[in-house]
This record gives sequence, C-alpha cells and structure tokens, in this order.
Amino acid sequence: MNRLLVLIGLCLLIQPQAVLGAEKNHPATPENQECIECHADQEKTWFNGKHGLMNVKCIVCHGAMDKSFTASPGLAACRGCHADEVAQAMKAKGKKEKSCFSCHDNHALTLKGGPASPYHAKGGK
Amino acid sequence: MKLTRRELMKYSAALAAASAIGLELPLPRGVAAAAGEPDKWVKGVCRYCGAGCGVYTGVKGGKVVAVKGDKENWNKGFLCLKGNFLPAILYAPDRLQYPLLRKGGKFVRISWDEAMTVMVDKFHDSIRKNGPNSVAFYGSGQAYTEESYFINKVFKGGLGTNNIDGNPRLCMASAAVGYVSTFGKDEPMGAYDDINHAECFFIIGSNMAEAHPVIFRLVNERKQKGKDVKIIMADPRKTLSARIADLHMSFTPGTDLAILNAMAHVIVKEKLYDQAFVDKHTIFKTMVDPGPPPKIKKVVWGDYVKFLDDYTPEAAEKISGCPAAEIVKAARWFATSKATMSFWCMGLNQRTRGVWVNNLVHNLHLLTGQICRPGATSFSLTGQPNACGGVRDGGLLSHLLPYGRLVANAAHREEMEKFWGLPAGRIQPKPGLTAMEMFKSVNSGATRCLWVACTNPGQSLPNVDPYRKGMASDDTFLVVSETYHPTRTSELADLVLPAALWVEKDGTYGQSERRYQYVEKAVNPPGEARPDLMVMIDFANRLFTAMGRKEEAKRLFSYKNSEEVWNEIRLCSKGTAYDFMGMTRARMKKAHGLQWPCPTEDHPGTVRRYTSEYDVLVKQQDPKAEGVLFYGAKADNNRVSIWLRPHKGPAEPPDAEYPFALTTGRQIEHWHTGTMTLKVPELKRSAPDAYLEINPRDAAKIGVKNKEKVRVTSRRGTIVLEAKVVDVPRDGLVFMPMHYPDRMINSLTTDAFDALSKQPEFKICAVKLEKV
Repeated sequence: MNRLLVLIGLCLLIQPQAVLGAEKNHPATPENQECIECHADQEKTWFNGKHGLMNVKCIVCHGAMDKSFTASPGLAACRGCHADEVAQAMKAKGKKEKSCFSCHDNHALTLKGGPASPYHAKGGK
Repeated sequence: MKLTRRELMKYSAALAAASAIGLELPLPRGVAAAAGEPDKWVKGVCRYCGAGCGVYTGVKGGKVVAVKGDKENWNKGFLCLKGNFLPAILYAPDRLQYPLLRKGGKFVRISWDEAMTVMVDKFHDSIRKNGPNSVAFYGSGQAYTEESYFINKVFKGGLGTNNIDGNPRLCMASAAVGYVSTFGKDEPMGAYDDINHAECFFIIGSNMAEAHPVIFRLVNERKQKGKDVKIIMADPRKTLSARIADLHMSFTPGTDLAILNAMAHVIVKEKLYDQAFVDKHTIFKTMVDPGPPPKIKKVVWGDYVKFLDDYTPEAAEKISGCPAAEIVKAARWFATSKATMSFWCMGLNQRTRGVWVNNLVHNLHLLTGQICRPGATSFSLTGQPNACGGVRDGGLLSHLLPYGRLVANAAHREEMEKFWGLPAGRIQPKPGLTAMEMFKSVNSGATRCLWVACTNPGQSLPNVDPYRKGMASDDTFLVVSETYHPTRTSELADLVLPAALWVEKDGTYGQSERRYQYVEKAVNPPGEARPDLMVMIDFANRLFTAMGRKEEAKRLFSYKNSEEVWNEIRLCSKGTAYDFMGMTRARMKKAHGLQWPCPTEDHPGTVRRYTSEYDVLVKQQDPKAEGVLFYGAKADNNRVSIWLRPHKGPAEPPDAEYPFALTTGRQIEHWHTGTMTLKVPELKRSAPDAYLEINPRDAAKIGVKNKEKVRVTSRRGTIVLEAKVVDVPRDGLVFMPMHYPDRMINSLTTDAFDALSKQPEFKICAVKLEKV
C-alpha cells in the first residue's frame, strides 16, 4: 500500500514536469491561427477578467510561437505594469512562491483565495 | 522565456564576436529575466501613441533590456501591449546603420560627409534655379520638439519658404482647427485627471481600448469605482471599447453631424442647457460662404434654435440609422450628469467635415456648461507622441508659426522675425503646401527636393499609389531620414539617412493633455545612425555656407545639443498662451511631465485651462476675472463660438456600384505603418496580417466565410484579404487595419480632404466586395 502511494506520488510529481517539458516548444501553427482556436477555455477566462478587458493578450505572458514561447511565464512578463510587485517577488526568491501565478489564477489573474500575497501588500491592481 | 545558461553563453559569445566586427545583434526576448536586473533605469516616455505613458527603460551592458511603467506619472505605472515590448524595436534586424545613396537604380553605402554634400548640392541647386518654394520638408508628430522647432526655423525663417508640413495633417489637423475655430486657441483645456471626476463619458469616433489602451484603463477604473458613471459610445463598429459602454450608438458612417445636432436639439427643446453659461461665454457663428477664404457671419441664439429645428431626433434617425430614443437618452445623460467628458479621435478628424464635427462636440459642452470644471471637458485624443508638442504647438504645419502664431498674420510674422533675428519680410505671408498639396506638388514636379523625416508617407498617404509614383520619379530628389530600411517610403528615396530612435537620443515630447515630458538618452544608436536634430543642424549650416550665408547660419543655427534648442523654445513660448518658461531642462529631468501653461520655475503646471481656479493666465489677462475666462478668444471679447454646422455626408458614400463603406483603423498590437511593431515577434504573432472585418449578415450576402479570401475594390485600387467574420461593424460597413506594409490599404482610400483643415477622409470610402 505504501509502495502504491509512493508510486502515485511520483507520478503526480513527474507528470506536470513532463507536460511542461512538452509545452516548452509550442507545436508549429499557421500564422493566421489564433490562440483561441485551441485554447478556448483559457481564452474565455482571460477575456472575462480584468486583463482581458484591458487586452493584455496571450503574448505578454506566453510569448510568440517561436523560441520566445513559454508555457509557464516567469516574473519578468508582469514587470511592464507591475514592476514593484515583481521586484518584491524577486527579492523573495528562496521562499516557496516565485511566480505571480503562485497566488494569482493563471488566466483570470484574480487572487486564488487564502491570505494576501506575502510579496506585495495590496495585491496586483 | 527562460534563457538557459548555455543559450546565454552562446548569445554572449555571438554578441562579442559581432561587436568586434561592428555588427549589432538583436536581443532575444527574456535576456533581462535571465541576466538579472538592469544596471540602471532611465526615465522617458513611450515611443508610440499620443497618450504619453511614462516609461522607464532598463539598461544593461549598453542595451535596453526591459521597460516598466512610471508609477509616478499619469499612467500609474501601466503600459499597453505595445509598450510592454518596446525594447525589441531598437534591435530589429533591418535597422539602418549608414547612409545610402541610390546609384544606377541600387542603394550603395556612402559616408555621412558624402550624404550631406549630395543633399546640400541638390537643395542649393533647386533653390538657385527655382527659388525656395521648390524645396519642401515633410515632418512628423514623432520627432522631438527640438527637431521640429529647429527645422521649422530653417525653412520658414532661414530659407523663406512655408513648404513645411507634417503628418499630423493626416491625423490631428481637424482637431486643431476645431479647437481654434471654437475657442480661439488650439489644444484641450482639460486633462486625464478629468477622468477621475467625470460622471458621464461621451466617446465618439474612438476605439480607445485598442488605440489608447492606458487612457481606456483609467476610464474603466472610473466606471468600476463610480456609482452612477455612464459611458456612451458612438461608433459604427461595436469595438472592444464598447464592452464598458452603457449605451452604444451605431450609425451610418459619416452621419454623426446629424446626431450631434439632434443631441443639441434635445438639449435646447428640453431646456437642459446652461443659460447663464451660454449668455456669459458664448456667441453664435455660421459660415455663409465656404470661400476660400470662408465668409463667417455672427448670428444669435434664435437663429441657432431655428437651425436646430431641422435636427429632431427622428430626422436624425432617418439620416443616420441611429434610433431617436438613443439620441434622446445620450443628450439627457450628457446634459444632466454632474460632469461630462468627451473623447474623440480619428473617427471625427479624418473626415471631409472633420472640423465641423469637432465644432459640434464642443457645441454640446458649451450649451450645457460641461466644461472647465473637474470632469467636464471636451478632449481630443492624439495619435502620435509629439503631434501636439512638436507640430501643433511648435508650428510645424505650413500655415503656422510657433506657439499659436499664424503665417497669415503680419504681426505674428514680425514677432517671429524679430525673435529669430531675421530681416523684415523674410517669413512669407502665404501659407505653404499642406501634406496632400505637397505630394501633389511632387507629382507635378514643382517640388524638386523633398525631405521626409520620421514618417512613412509611401504607405500612409490616402490614395497612395499616384503619390508613390511621384516620390519614385527622377524629377524630385527625395531624402528620407529613417530608422529602418527598407520601408515603403525609403524604398522610393534617392538618399536614405540612418536615424537614431527613441531613447538613442534625448528630447521633449508633448502629449494630449498639454503634458511635456523629457526623454533622456539611454543608449547609443547603432552603427552610424544619428539623431535627426544633429543631421538638421549639420544640413542647415552646410546649405547656408554653400549659399554664401555662413555668418547668418552661425547666428541662426549654432546649437550644440537639444537643450540649447529647448532653451530657445522656452523663450519663444514666453508670454503666449503656451507659456512654459518654467519648464527648465533640469526640472524636466526630475519631473514626470509638466502641463503648460507653466510660466515660472515654481509653477506646478496647469491641469485645467481657462478657469481662474487652475490657470494662472486667466488673472494675467484680466485681474478681475473669476471662474471661466476663454482668453484664447480675445477677438470675440473672450467669448467662444457655438457653430451652426449643417449635416453633410462623406465625399464618397456607398452607392449601387460600390455598395459598402470601408473604414480603416488600428489594432492594439500595432502602431501606424508597422515599421516598429511588426518587428516585435510577439506582436507580429498576435496580429500577423491585415484582414477584412465584415459582419455575418454581409458575409452571407457576398457568400464568404471566415478566413476565405475577398477581393476589395474601390475607385482607386484593389486588394485581396482574408475575411474576418465577426459581428463588429454595422451592416454595410467593412473595416481593415492600417498597419501592414504588404497590404497597402491606402491604395483604396480617398484623398478627398476637409476644406478647412486639409485633413483627408481616411475613415470613409466606398468599396465593392467579391469572394475570390
């Protein structure tokens, strides 16, 4: 039983890494193919959030479909508008949370709930 | 993007090798993140639109590697999609690094000395043989104020020709003439701060969400925080901006004059106007003969009321297709809110009745007294970062002299001749060629030498194809100062001069709310690229030396840097309505922008003009004045004009042969002709190509589905584009983005222009559509 739990635990640990690894290189897409054509759910969540209303589009976090693509955006993607928050988070490296998305939902960009972020007093605007 | 150490090492090695042989390599995205914090942050302003967002550029190892919004500036630290990716524009692979001369049909690299020699020879020869009016300059609302002021001085003051105009003629001229004809002086009286106080926003002819996203963000913030804030959006397309609207008024393109008069009709009939304000501050005018020169007659309130009789909401509905009930609702919200702020942009300005429709928006504010109070103002949005500061204020239009002075005004000419130390009569009394007239003059061969700087008319002019032929012709020597090569203009040039871009040089930008901001130099330009100001100074001194006027050149054009020009500019503004003597360079370096008038170094700048509570010039004009004083309208005893402007449709409405109206505009990803934004991989991926936006009903009519090809034909040209079938444009209207050099949408647009502002009607022409 314990061995089974360890195996399940290992699978959970490894699987996300495998998925992220695969998404480091986005599959080639025709130039006129829009993100929404494959990622409709994420697009809908984003569109109905504040960043969607302000047209902070997919490319800001995820880059283009070339070498700049990333499935898991780093802190720098948010710095253009949230420089102080990013600077505070960078200082806090070594603590558990290193990414804006530790506290903020990936596409709605709302707080996930729980206590306010330890990295900036008011949360992202 | 996470750059691996291996990738970083490879990049660094490549950079070192490239530097050793004098090559510049583009920075891959994510270098900043991988390499840590920039060494320094340099304060500046965004390179793109007229919003003028404060930006810090992060510099590391002599390169701009990051940007962040300036929290202490009006934009509160926010940037739009484009601003977020600014560093990449500096490192595009097509940066021009040395002068190019066309020889035997090919461009060859030459030295700066040879370039200046060739250019001076051509201009000198033309002036000697054909007089100073045979040469011309076409400038830009993107050049720094110091550059525009200097070259204006060279042409109007030095050479004695007024053939100098700028691309704001294509975007802001109607707004400028609208302000001048209503208020006596150009530029808005209000500020972005009014957004924080407005209870009603009237947004017409503007897709702010994409064209001015950070201003749109402020409006949305106000909407979310204010309990009863109403937003009226009047636009034939239901754009992304309309997502926050309480009322979206759709109408047939070009019929908004009828709607605005009908709103005034409702305000008058329902007695929603401010009688005391109208009595104290306004007069009524009508144009009895369009001229030129236009013949204007003063009329009275009763005439205005009678004029409005024709514009019942029902009558306006018949003309415009906008429901009468919506017109009534909009008029009531506009008049009765605690404070109403209007915004408009190219939808009103790029029209053959651009000035008139601007006047009609001002009319609503004057009738209701919704002006010169916090939140109550009539605010024109600006397309370029320095159309206001450099061109409208600085006078780089063929009918203007700096800071509110006019070419046609003898006293103003005399004033500038004395200020610049010129012989009396040097400045010519007749306004020079406006943009479209200038390119017609190139076509006719009358303009022998044309210098185009910091703009791309080979793509951006309406009905562009005949003008491209003129620019390419051997009859005119075309000099193009450009950052990139080839562009759709530089490809036509005889001589291309490599230009420093944005934070590769220093200078002053003046944006929509009269805020002037200093952009500090952060990095060196690549190769042999130089700041345009330095090239202009070099050119002026060499040309005048060649003409045997070396001593005069020494007196007029001896500047070492932009600060010396700026100090002269401050003096030139002194005592005018623009007075910014208080904006010393030292102060501007520290400040996050200052709003003129700002006459002394201890003056904080002026948020709202024409009211004694905020504007120090009111008391200077009349020490007894309290509250509002429209001192710009001195000729009319400080009373501003409510204009009787009848409805008139576009120059080329749809008809049986060309049944659709075509309008052009912006996408959030791109800016103007895409020379900068299309070099940013992320922006290019997000918005890779032009398309024809058409609603599902019209698409069904022509039998075309989403992503199928459509042939779009106007009376001037044809292009084939992919259809984007979305329910955004109203029936009978199609839209195309304006940015793509490989899709010359201006092959289709009309070059008909407004008789008063000379601004062309990019926004409406007739087309037919066929499935390919």
